[in-house]
Amino acid sequence: MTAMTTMTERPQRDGSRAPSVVLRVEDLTVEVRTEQGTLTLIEGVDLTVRSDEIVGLVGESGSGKTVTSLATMGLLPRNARVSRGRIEVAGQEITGLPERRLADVRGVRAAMIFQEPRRCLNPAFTVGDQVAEAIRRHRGWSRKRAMAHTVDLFGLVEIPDPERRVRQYPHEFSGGMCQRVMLAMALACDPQLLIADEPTTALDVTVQRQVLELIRRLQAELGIGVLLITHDLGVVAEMCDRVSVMYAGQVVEEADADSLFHSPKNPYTSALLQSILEPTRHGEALTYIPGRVPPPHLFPATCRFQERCGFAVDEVCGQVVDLQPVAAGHSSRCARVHDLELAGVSE
Amino acid sequence: MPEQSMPEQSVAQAKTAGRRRSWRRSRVMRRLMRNPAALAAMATLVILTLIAIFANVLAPHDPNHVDLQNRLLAPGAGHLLGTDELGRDVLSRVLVATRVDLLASLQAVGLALVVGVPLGLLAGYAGGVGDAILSRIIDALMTLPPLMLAVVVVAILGPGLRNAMIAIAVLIVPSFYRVARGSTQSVAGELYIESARASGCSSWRILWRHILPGIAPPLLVQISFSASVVIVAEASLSFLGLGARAPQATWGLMLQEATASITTSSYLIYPPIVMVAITILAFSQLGDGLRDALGRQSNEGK
Repeated sequence: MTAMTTMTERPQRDGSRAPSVVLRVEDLTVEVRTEQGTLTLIEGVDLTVRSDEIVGLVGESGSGKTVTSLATMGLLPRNARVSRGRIEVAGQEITGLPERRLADVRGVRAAMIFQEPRRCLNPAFTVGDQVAEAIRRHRGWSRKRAMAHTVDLFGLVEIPDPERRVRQYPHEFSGGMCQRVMLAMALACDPQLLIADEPTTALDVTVQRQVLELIRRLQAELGIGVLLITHDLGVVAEMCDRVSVMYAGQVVEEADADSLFHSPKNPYTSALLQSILEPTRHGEALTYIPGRVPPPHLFPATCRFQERCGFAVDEVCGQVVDLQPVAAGHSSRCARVHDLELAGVSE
Repeated sequence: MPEQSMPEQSVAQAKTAGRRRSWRRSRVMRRLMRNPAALAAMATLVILTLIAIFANVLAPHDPNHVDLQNRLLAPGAGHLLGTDELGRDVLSRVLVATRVDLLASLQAVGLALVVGVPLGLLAGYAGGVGDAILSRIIDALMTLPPLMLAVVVVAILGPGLRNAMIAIAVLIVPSFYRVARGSTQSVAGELYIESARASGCSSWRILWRHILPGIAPPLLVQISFSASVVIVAEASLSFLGLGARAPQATWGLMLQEATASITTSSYLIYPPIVMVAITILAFSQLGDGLRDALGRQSNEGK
């Protein structure tokens, strides 16, 4: 298969290479200017992704997952800015880089795929054109060579009949196939980091599984670090090595996937885990977290989950809490972390 | 364009470009063809263009030949549309004026396009302070009474058809700017633009490859409508003596000359009026048709 030949031809890309840190986010704080004044969207986010792992970033809508990922690509909207902290993508500091230099980082060091793959493709051009364009932009190859590489990439992401498919338009592709095209485009210039922002949320469950399998296979084969942003804990359980849980612009718990699912140390994580739908709990009342994530201008200075938390005690929780280690590689942001016994998923 | 460098690519490139264009063209053309008004407008414009090209051949007489013995002849066998105050053949003058008028409006629209569209693209895409300042200037330009603005421009540059066209271009630049800016903003909000940025496309490339094709349809409609505006504006300026100078033949100038003898030879005013009316009707009908054919949510029964 053509895809396999290119695989072996690719320089410096194989899973056996010593893992390196491909994304290091430290103390990331993003502010946005609005008519109501300056709001802090995310605060003090730390995140690390190595080239041999898939890291999940989980949280409800409005928790700051997407802002974190956009900041990582330098794609924040014009009225938002990184006010504190640093972002290092494959050894390159991103914060403060001018747009021109950022364009060289995007696609080469880090690539991103989005939630609605079909809307990510320009309907006026063939998909092959669009993937080839990314290659030519970064490598300066001829159209012919870039197109040949595109066909190989389509094979790599398991699009059947790639020679024919590169010449088709986005409307001729299903959602799952569009996401494969987006993956091919993302991988076009051998990035070291792939950010997948809800990559399968808009897809059918069966297609979702295929795309996730593909992402996992590509991660292992190419040695790419993956930051998987999702609100679906089922996806996290299946895919991720480590998980960061975000709530209201802060990381509230960070752990390897096993510990997080079986012995969560934060009431929010535990509540999220309880609200997973499971066929075995048929007939029981659905559990959910009452209320919703507060909007950024109502973030309290103290524990942000307090008012929705079933374990909140006013005397203890009415203070600023930091993310504190509870075990090796496991930290939680909760004032009562040491005196709570929280439920995880039952096996 | 950086993409047109190597000869071996050109064939493949032409093929892709052709495919891309034919896909859009076929759909738009199909819709246009089903619209009788647009079809008639296109036919009219084709005929007008042919008249403009072959005006010299079609004209039965020299349009500038003065024949004072035969002045103000009524329409008849020798002169199908009669002769004017100086005995010049009106039919010949109307035909030649078609060429002058169409060329002049091409100049004005082209100039407005070249100035307005890049400014609108940049303002719409970059936003910020530059956009705010530029948009205020354009707004201010639009609040001025158009005829007075044109008179001022002609006063500065001096009379003559070319300067009148520059004045008219100044008048219609704001509409191109606004259409380009507005459409750029809406196209720039599409997810595929963000995804192109995420894959490392430079801003220029995004503007050229992704946004310009996206804003072409509304611009096409605007071009068509503007052309009709230009025809009227040219006629007005020439009528006021600020545009074309004698002995040049334009519809506006012919109209002005005809008014001098309107009491005795009223037939002289009809040819230029009819030509102006037909032309603006054709341009605006084509604009309407294009707008319907290019519209995204146009219900295409299949």
